[in-house]
Amino acid sequence: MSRYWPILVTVVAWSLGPIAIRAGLDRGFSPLTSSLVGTAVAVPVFLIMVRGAASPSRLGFAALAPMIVAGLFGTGGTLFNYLAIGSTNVAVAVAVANTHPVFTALFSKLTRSEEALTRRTWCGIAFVVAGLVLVSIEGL
Amino acid sequence: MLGIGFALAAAVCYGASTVVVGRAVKAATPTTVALVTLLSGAVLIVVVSATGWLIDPGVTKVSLDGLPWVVVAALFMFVVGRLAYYSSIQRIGPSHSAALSATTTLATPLLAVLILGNGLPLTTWLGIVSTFAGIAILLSGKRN
Repeated sequence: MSRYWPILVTVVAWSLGPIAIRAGLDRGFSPLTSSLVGTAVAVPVFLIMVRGAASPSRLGFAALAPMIVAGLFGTGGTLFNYLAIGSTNVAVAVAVANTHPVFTALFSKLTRSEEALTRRTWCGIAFVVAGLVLVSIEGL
Repeated sequence: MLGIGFALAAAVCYGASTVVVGRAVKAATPTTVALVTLLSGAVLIVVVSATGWLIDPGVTKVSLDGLPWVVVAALFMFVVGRLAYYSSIQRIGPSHSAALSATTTLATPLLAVLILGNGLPLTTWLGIVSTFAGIAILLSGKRN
C-alpha cells in the first residue's frame, strides 16, 4: 500500500485547492490570472527543488519534448474546463470532464504503454467514472 | 452542446497529458517533469491571457484581497498536488492514477455530509458507492 500514498496526497491537495481557488475568485481574481499567479508561485519552488542533477537543463530534447507536450495538454484541459463551466451547467461540465480516466486508459492502450490494462483495471475505471457521473449530475 | 464539447475536450486533454507524463517520468524525476510541464503550460496561459486581455481586459482581473488565497491554492494545486500526482503516475501508472485522482469530486458531497450534516439524494449515494467500488477494484489489482 505504500506506493499509493502519493495519490492519497494528490486527492487531499486537489480537494482542498479548489476551496482556496473559489475564495480567490470571490475576492476579485479571474481564473486566468489566478492560474498565472499560481504558476509564478510554483515555478520558484520547483526551481529550488531541481537544483543539480535533476535540473532539466541536463536533459536532451528527446526527454524534454514529452514534458512540454504534457504541459500543453494539461493546461489546454484546464482552459477547456473553464470554457465548459462557462458554457453549460456546472454539473454537466464536471460529469463529462470526469470521464478523463477513460481517455487515459484508451490512450495508454493506443500508445502501447507498459501499464497493464487488465479487465479488472477497465472494470475499476468504469465503476469510478459511472460513480462520478452520478455524483455530478445531481446538480442538474 | 458547445459546453459538453468543451468538457469532452478537457477530458481528452487531461487523458493525453497523463499518458504523456507517464512516459516523461521514465526519463526524469517527477519534480523535473512538474517544473517543465508547468513552464510549458505557463506559455500557453500567457498567450491566452494576452489575447483575452486585448478582447476584454476584465478576463485578467486581480485583487490584493484574493492574492493570499490564490497563493495557497497554488501551493495545493500546482506544487503539492502536481508533484504527488506525477509521483503516483511513476509508481502505479497513468490509468490507475487518473481514476483514483478523479475521486476528488467526492470531496464536496462528503464534506457536506460530514461537516454540514446535509442529506444527499439517492443518486449521489449510488455514485459514491460506485466510485468506492471502483477504487477497491483498482487497489486490489496487481500492478505491472
